[in-house]
Amino acid sequence: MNKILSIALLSCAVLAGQPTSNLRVVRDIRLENLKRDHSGRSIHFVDSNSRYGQGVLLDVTEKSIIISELGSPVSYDHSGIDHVFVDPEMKEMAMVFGLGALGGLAGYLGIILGHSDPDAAMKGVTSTLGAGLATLVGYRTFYKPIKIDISGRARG
Amino acid sequence: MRLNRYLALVFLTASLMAQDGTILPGQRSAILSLAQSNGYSTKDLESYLTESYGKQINNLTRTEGAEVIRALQAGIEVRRAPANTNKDLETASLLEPGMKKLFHLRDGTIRDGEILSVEDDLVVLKTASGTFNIPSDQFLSETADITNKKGELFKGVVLGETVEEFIIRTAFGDAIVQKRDIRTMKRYHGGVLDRQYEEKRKFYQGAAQLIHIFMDPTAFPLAGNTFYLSGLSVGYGLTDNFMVTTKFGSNFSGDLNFHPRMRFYHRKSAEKEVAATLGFGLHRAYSINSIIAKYSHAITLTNNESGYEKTLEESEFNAGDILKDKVDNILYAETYLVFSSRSVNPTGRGKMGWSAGAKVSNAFMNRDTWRKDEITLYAQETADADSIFDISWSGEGKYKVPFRCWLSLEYDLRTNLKFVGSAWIDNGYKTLKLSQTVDDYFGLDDSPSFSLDSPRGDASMIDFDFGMLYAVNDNFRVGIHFQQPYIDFYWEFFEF
Repeated sequence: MNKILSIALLSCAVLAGQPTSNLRVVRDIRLENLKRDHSGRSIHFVDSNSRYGQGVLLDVTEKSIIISELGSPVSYDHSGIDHVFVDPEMKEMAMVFGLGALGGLAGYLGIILGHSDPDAAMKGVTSTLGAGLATLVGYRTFYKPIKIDISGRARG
Repeated sequence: MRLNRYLALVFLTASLMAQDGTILPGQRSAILSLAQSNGYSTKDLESYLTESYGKQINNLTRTEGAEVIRALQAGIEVRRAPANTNKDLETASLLEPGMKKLFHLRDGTIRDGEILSVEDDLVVLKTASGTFNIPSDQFLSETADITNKKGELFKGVVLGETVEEFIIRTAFGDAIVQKRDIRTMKRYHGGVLDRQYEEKRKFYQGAAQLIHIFMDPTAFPLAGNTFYLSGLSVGYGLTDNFMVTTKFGSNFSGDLNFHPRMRFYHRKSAEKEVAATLGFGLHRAYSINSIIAKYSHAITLTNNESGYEKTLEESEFNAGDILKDKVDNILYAETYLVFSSRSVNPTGRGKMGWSAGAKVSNAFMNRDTWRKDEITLYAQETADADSIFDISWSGEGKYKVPFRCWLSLEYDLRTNLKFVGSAWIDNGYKTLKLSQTVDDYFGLDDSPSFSLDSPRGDASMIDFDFGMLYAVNDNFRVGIHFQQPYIDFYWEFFEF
């Protein structure tokens, strides 16, 4: 009788635990992916105590995210963190400037083709406008943190 | 000439129509024969085809026919229960508070909402239209077969879906599949393949990942080991970041050419993909005649008596008339830089993207050495006396360097249909009529065949174009737009 009761209780516990244990699996996989794909990159996040962490990702353990802040490793409990943001770096900035330069060039070429005799002021204005607009688009396109979901939630 | 055009049109139409027609009689016989030899009844086969493709054998396409043959040859189990009735539909095995997605119900309805609670087999589902109490056995199971780009196949219950991932409960544990890594996916509701939902509601992979829009490249090269063939060029993706193409029409006329493209920056998530690419082009014997023709509006003819000026484009002369007698074709090089972005449409349906780039070439190097100093318009050609014109390149700043800047847009209208548009600033662009383009492509204007290098057209240095691109099947794309070349078509063969 005790055996049957034990088996029944165990079965219930296993069944009841399914969704939770699998969400844990989901979270573990996401944490592994974070470590694999983004170690060495600058990240930021807000933990469950509203502490803001920003630094270079060094390691992700079972319980903590370890980042380098001002050269020193600092550990944050990741149990209350659902999202981590990977910060843009120099190459993203280079893309923004590259696109800005392209916009400036397009503005200049556009005015010399579209106007019979543009003066220096017109060339300057269109180049600046082109560069400014392209830099803005480039900033919004390339210089944006990547949001990484490390929650255990299996829904959108 | 007219016969040639008709033949070309018939050939083109035939090849377009042949892309994915209905199943061939040979394929049909092969399927029936294979099914019989594997011990399946006609009913088993019908059931399998209905569940997998939603149609019977005579309505399959050739591609689907080939898939079925491969499946039968591989010994895949096609024997299934007869077509599901409403009672046989599988019930959802997992419903928990907080699940928020599209729920498919046994009565055929679909609700987009969030489960508030599950008590005594009664699910409280909150939607934008109200809150409903629905028995749990009315929720259909949601399963999926997903193949990722590495070739791994996952089968299981869809536990959830985020913008980036699918979470699948397989027989051996839960798997998270990144949407960006998905190659193919079949999704089942209640155990029945939901093709309509799959194709129309959401896009997990763009049907057409464009490597160019009209004639301008994007920053997304061919995927690794992909072969590309269009009406103008052939190409190959050597890696995911490096590809090469060559224009075969020019090759056959002695102008061997090579166009590598290297993506040096790339970031990708399920929602967004951005890239920057540097490309080059090298032609060993580029036609000077083509350069003169392309920039004929930048060549000035000055009457040495009256001082009257007009461009070569406006004159009675052809490009070849102003060239010196013995001028060799030149080594031509071009380079371009292009930035591209492609992201999920805010409506959640399809993707949209843009590319911006600039290109320069060495076409004007030594340009003064090719032309004659003057040209005579003889009196018998006009009513007046002989006229002598001095020939010179325009000294205006806009003709110092050959350049082109472009901004291209793409927008998914459906999984297999894109709207594409482009605007450009190009000091050598000439707009051609359709008939001129056809003559140019087939070499009827004395230019090389299968290339676009017509000496004709009207200069239009700031211009735009738009059109549609249709994915006939996984490999073949065809598009139509309103400037040359008017029609685009190309094939991409993956894992070639």
